[in-house]
Amino acid sequence: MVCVEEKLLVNTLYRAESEVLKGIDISHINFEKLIIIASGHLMLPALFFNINKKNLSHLFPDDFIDYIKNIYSINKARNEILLSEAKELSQLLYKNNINHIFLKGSALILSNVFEDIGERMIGDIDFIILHKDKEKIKNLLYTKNYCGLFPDSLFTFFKPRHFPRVVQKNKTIAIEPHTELLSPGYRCIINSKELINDFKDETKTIKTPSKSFLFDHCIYNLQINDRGLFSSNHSHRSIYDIYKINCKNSLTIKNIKKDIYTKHYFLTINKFEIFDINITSSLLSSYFNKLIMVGGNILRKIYIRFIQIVELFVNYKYRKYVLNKIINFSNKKTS
Amino acid sequence: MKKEADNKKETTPYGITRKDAIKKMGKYAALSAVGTFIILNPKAAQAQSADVGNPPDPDGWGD
Repeated sequence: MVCVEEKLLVNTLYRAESEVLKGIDISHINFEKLIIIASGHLMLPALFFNINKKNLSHLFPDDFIDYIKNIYSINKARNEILLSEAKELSQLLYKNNINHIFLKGSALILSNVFEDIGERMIGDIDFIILHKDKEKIKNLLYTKNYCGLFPDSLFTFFKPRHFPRVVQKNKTIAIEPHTELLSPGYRCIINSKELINDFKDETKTIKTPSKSFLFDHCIYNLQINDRGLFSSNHSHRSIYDIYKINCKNSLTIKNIKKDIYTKHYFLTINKFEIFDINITSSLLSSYFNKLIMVGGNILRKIYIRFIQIVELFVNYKYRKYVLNKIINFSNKKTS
Repeated sequence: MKKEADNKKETTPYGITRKDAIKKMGKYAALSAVGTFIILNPKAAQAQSADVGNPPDPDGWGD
């Protein structure tokens, strides 16, 4: 069941001006609830952009418009800085022969997927490098005074998806260098090495993945890294990205992948009727899929716990880290 | 004179804290999700990376 406020959010973002109020009585809208929903999905700037573009401001209270306009303006100013810092970073990596590709929000902005630079809220600059360049980038960022620098890897066997987020003292936006795209146990779905090797011979400094890759990564990121497959939660920021990536080619069932992650993604957002993709799950296949999901998750957890136990025996740094965690936890309990 | 005019020129700030937003923008800021201001506040983003000695659990280890 979609509440009327979320329905208005969806209509404003995805439908034409004439269809925004379809099935909605504007006098029943609780604008405070709309702010809670839209901000929870990091969609306030996109909401303002669409209200402004579709001349819908007469439907909303003045203080509501003033507020989301302020948020949009601040976000736009921040994204302009993000763009210039991403370009600067790319040149630095290029000069030092570190092959890299921007990912997620920064890749979408750099690929001009959005009509306006202020539409999308972006936390940091994500990019992927090859495993062989890990030490090189550590040294480079160390010499360039990035703080919060990478601690030596805590794990012997485990390869984290990305380094901890780091930021240069005189810069605004943090960066997050990735070496993998997905959480462990799912890395066979997208091969990060293949992605970065595809760009090996390109001479341009700023490299972003193709739109079809951005589309798939957007789905897998929500379904796997953000646990959408298990929680069945949707993300309007992710839906908006998908919508913007595909705004020129209408998305149909024929041109999407048929794997469980993509199917589940579109099944979860079917209720909003944004795309012309009607995925229904039969009772049997739905139980079968759930069984695969639950079984996969249990196996993954067993694998992780097993590796953790092995790390405890062979890795002194990890033992020290676990001990610190236990001490901190018991201190918190007693205080 | 020109310099003075340039200084007075209004520029949009590129960040805001939740506290400042509530002061300046009122009730809607108080209702907004914390995540919005974490992204819009550069200091909050930097604070997330300050914990060098005790790295966060990488994904897959904390659950």
